[in-house]
Amino acid sequence: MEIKELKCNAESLTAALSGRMDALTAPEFTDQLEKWIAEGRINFTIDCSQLDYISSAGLRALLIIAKKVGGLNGKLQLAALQESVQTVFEISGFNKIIPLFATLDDAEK
Amino acid sequence: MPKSRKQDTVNHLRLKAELENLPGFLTFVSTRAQQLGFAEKQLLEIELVLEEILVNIIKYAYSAERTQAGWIDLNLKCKPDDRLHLEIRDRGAPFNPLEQADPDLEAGLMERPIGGLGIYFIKKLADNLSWHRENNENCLNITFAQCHV
Repeated sequence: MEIKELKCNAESLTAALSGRMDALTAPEFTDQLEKWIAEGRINFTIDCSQLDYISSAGLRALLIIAKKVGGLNGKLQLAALQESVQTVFEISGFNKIIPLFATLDDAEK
Repeated sequence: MPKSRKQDTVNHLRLKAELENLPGFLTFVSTRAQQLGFAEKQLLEIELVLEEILVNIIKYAYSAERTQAGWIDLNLKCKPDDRLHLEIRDRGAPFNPLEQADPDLEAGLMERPIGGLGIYFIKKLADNLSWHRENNENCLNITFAQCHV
């Protein structure tokens, strides 16, 4: 899994996630996002177009961050989910608690 | 080396119940599922179910005796059909995933409990799931049928 910063201004940051977000790699996501939160970012948009796989460990990491930024009046939103990742969001009901957008442009409107 | 006989052979993989062994188990099962002709989307679902089962064992089964991680035994039962049959065994505390309550999928963001989804995925995505206790082992049998769309 790789997480790359795409752009950043004031309280908002856009990043791209690629590869597999599983029990082995999910802590990398939490660590990186917590670093950005500590730097004052609270609104995150994540491009998931290159994210091939997510398990409950990945959802757990997203939920931890979404709750954290929610508590700071910020938000975590995801864009461009692949079909298999979208399915995992639907089964878990995460599509109802984390805003999902078809494209990165839609998310940034 | 895997046996080449076609009917009712069993391929076996035994690894320590440690997170770093997750890719080894996943590759072992994916290779077999690919040979059987499972499509990409289903391969990801199989990997998801397998990861959830194994992580659960790694995190909880041997937690009482954490000084030494126990083993996980994975058997691939090759039957003369195009289904994928897995048997996963551990010698940890008795644990039947089928008896676990489903998480509240309707809870809002701030109320959503962290955790509990892994077992839900297992129950939701496996086509057949059964658990029994035998010789002090948890024995979980899982079957995936190919969906031909």
